[in-house]
Amino acid sequence: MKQQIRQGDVLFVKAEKVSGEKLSHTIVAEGEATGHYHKLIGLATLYQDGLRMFAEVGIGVVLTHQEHAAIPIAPGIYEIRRQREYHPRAIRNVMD
Amino acid sequence: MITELTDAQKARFPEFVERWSSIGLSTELANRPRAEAGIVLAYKAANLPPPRIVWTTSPLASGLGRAVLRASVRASVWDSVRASVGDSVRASVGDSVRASVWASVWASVWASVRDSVRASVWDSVWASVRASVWDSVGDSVGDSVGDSGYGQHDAGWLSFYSFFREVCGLKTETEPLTGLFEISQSAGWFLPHEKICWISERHNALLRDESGGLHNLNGPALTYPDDFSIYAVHGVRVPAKIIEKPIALSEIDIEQNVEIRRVMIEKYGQDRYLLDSGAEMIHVDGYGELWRKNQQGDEPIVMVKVVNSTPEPDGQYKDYFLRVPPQIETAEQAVAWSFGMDAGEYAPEKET
Repeated sequence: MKQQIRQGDVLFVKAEKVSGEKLSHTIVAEGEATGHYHKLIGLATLYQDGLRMFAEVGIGVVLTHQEHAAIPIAPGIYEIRRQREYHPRAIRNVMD
Repeated sequence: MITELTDAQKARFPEFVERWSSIGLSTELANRPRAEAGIVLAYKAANLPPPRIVWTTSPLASGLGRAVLRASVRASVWDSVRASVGDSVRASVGDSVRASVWASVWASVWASVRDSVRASVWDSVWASVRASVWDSVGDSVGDSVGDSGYGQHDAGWLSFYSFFREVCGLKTETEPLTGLFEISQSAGWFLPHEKICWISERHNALLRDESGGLHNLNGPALTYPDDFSIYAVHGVRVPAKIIEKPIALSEIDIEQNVEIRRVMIEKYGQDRYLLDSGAEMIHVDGYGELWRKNQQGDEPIVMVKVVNSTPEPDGQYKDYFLRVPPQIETAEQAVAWSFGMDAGEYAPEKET
């Protein structure tokens, strides 16, 4: 089983390698309504590959959020997943 | 003949998509002098003398204005503007670029702008104006939507020609479009006739969801300055009363239209609906509770109830519901699905 760490709606899953473009910030995810965010503090780099996100984490990194306890992330490569919700597939506009 | 685009030219696709999408979605006040100059240019390109220009507050107001004067204004000249401007430009740009270049700019610029402007916004305005004019003055004028130029909502096809004009140097070929370029960047829909041209303000509020569909659960998703407005949820147009009035459980159960019922449930609160409407708990495990509510004519609502792992300031742990696909059978499977995993795969070591 791949190592996993969860903070609220964000799940870090151990991965083999990163892919995508390097980001210039370390905000993992932002709340839509609240303005709160999950952020890596310390030596960490994020990568965005389409909808997927990866992190390269060094020593002494913690994941922070305004409402959740900070959580240490062990050094390594991770894929970051956001919790999703199901929406029934749209039926076309039926008002006419 | 342009046989292919250079890398530098292709690199400008996103710039045109962005620029023309924001033209299409703009909620600013019309730039009236610029739009009026554009109308004169468009008429000139069609060999018509300048019309009298009448500003209105929405495409609906234009349609109603024309309905009143219908007998005296003669037919719309949009067909002749479209023919002398649109078709001729289409032909001359077509002659100047190889088909593969045409297709590539089409797919990269036109299609993207169209998706964000036409599919989400124009469609709704079109259907709504047509329905409203129809209701008010009968079917003889319901065609006002078809006789319109769409101003800012013409951004899709205009983005295409603007790319050829600015990036590929096809100035002469696209010259007849100058008027329409100006109108689209400064106003909303227009209804051109021989002696008179109605032109509308732009929409002044426009709310969309993440995928670009018109969306507002708390009020109109789109409004014009005269309060002509459109209510929509995730791109589905709905009657105003569904948004403006509180929804009772009994109203949801008698709604026959599945799409509208979904909107009503979303407005009511999916989790609240589940509990109030007598859903059953179908599974419980260490991950949470799985609830299911069967529905007539639509797929069941299945939601997993989980406990937030971080306590509230008062020390309580709050529950929340997440909707999952209807075929999910266990709470574990549901939580794993929410992170894109199978049951058995999801196992966080640490959680806050």
